[in-house]
Amino acid sequence: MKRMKKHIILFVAAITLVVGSAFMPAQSNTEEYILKAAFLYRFTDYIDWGSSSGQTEDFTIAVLGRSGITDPLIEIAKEKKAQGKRIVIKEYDNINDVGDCQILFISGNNKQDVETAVSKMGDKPILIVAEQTDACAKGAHINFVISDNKLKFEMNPSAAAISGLKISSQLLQHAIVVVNTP
Amino acid sequence: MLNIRNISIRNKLIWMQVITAMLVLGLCFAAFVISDIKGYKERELRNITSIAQVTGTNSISAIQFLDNDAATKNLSNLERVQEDIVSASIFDKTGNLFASATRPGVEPYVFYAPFTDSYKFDDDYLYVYKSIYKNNELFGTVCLKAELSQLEQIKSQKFQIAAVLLLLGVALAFLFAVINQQYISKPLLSLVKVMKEVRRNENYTTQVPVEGTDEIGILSLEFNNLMDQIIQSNQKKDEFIGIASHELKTPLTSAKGFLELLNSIEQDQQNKLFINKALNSINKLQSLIYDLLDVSKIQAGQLQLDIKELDIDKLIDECVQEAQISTTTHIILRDGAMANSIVFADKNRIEQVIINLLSNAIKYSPKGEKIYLHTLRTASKITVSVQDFGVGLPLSDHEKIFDRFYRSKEKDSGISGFGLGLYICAQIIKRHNGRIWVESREGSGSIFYFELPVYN
Repeated sequence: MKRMKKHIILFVAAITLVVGSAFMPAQSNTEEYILKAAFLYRFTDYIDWGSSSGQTEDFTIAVLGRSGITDPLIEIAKEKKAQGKRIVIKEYDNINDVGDCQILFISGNNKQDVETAVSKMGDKPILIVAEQTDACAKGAHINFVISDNKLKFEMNPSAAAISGLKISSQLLQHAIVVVNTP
Repeated sequence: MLNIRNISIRNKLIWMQVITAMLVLGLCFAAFVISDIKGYKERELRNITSIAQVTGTNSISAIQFLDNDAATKNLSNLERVQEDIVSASIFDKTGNLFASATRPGVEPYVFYAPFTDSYKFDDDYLYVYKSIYKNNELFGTVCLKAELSQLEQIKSQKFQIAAVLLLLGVALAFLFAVINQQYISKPLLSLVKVMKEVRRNENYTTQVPVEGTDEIGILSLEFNNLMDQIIQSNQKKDEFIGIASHELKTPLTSAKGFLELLNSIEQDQQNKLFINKALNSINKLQSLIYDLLDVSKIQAGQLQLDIKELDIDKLIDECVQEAQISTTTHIILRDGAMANSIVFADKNRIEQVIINLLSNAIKYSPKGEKIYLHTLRTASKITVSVQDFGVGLPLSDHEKIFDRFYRSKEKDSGISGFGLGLYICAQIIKRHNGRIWVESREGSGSIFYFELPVYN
């Protein structure tokens, strides 16, 4: 019960921040990444990884490259579960080191790595999320963008389908751009 | 002020039934209209609440991804789904407005805190607040303002139906009441009618038809019993009068006989005067007793007539002479042509009638006047009239004066009598198939007529 209460307080705090920032210009990287972490976590509600992900014990989110998203993700992982599993956050510098995971977040600092990551992981049921221009055209499944001072995202459901992921139409309707290049 | 006792039972019954019907139907229809309105409001509440629930569920992802546009689109679409929705808003769980939509051309409505599951009705609108939950996690609140568009329609429709049915019900109640009251007020009124007839005609053998065993039936039965009792006591009275007058007659006849004997042998003038006074009184008493005997005979239907050929002119002259002897203050004049006819009649009884009329004329003209006896012969009948110039009779007495024991109130003072003479006269003339009547005005005297049929 006590834990539940704490959980709610934290979540309320997070949402307050999120909503606040949604209506204001992003004041700092930290707030932007807290919001991105929250979105990333919520994507898990609308994506079906298929039966293969059922075999792993944990729900792993891999972060490629140094990113401000890692800390807020760790905070979320402390409190919540994704697909009914414990959330594990792993940070990698090199795409070749990335092992079994359900989400791969490519930090904006690793621009050249989107195509590499897609070619390397594109056939596995891994949701590839990026935060750079034209990432979806390059094969990323979801790409964060800032538009009108608000955090938005683009999607490429065809690419996700090739990876064996099913994206809920409910999530699709919130994407500002839907790209359909494999 | 309206006195309920002055309203007829007929109207009381009708109004009672109509008012009862109005009250009962009015209450029923009020309940019917209220429950209908309540039913409509409940349906509308269920409907709008479930729409709020669905809208909330559909808007979770929009809230999650801060997609105000998607949420606003969701809300705008609502008005297409449910026309009654005027304004819709989604508030996030901190109470900030997240998305809002209003029917075009309508002033946007600002929903106010607290944003908890609730609803409110005002005159024309329904407000529903529905919290959005997913996996026990609160995301925000959907607020809907819906127009109760059919309320006025339902109200006017139901009121119209209720009013028509009420009118119909009251009309039917009125009809039933009018029919029903006949079974109560009609027999009562017919009873009253019979009572009036009985009072007017003194015909106590009249009976009221007894229908049914209700209170009015009992009343009618008791009225009939009362009539029987009146007949019985009348009979007892008549019997008593008959027996008493008969028993009085015998010793009186004997007393009279001895007084007449005494009168014939007595020489002393002083004593003779006393004897005559006694004889006078005895005669008065005797005529009274004869009257009573006649009445009891008439009542018993035992008045015997000795019908013979009768010279009416001769009889009238005899009567005028006899009456003239008894008075010194009046002059009795035979007037008109001689009848010159023979009638078939009881001489003694017709004489009784003429003497009676003449002595009445003398008695009721105390100042002393002329009295005319007039005869008129027509083809089929002879009319005899006796005219005086005395006190006269009010118009209201002209019929009743021939009733038994009836005496005119106004001329009661000072003039003695039993009220039997004219009754006996009327009965005698009736038995002769004749007619008797009076013409009179108060203060200017009376003319008593009787007519007898003449057989040629």
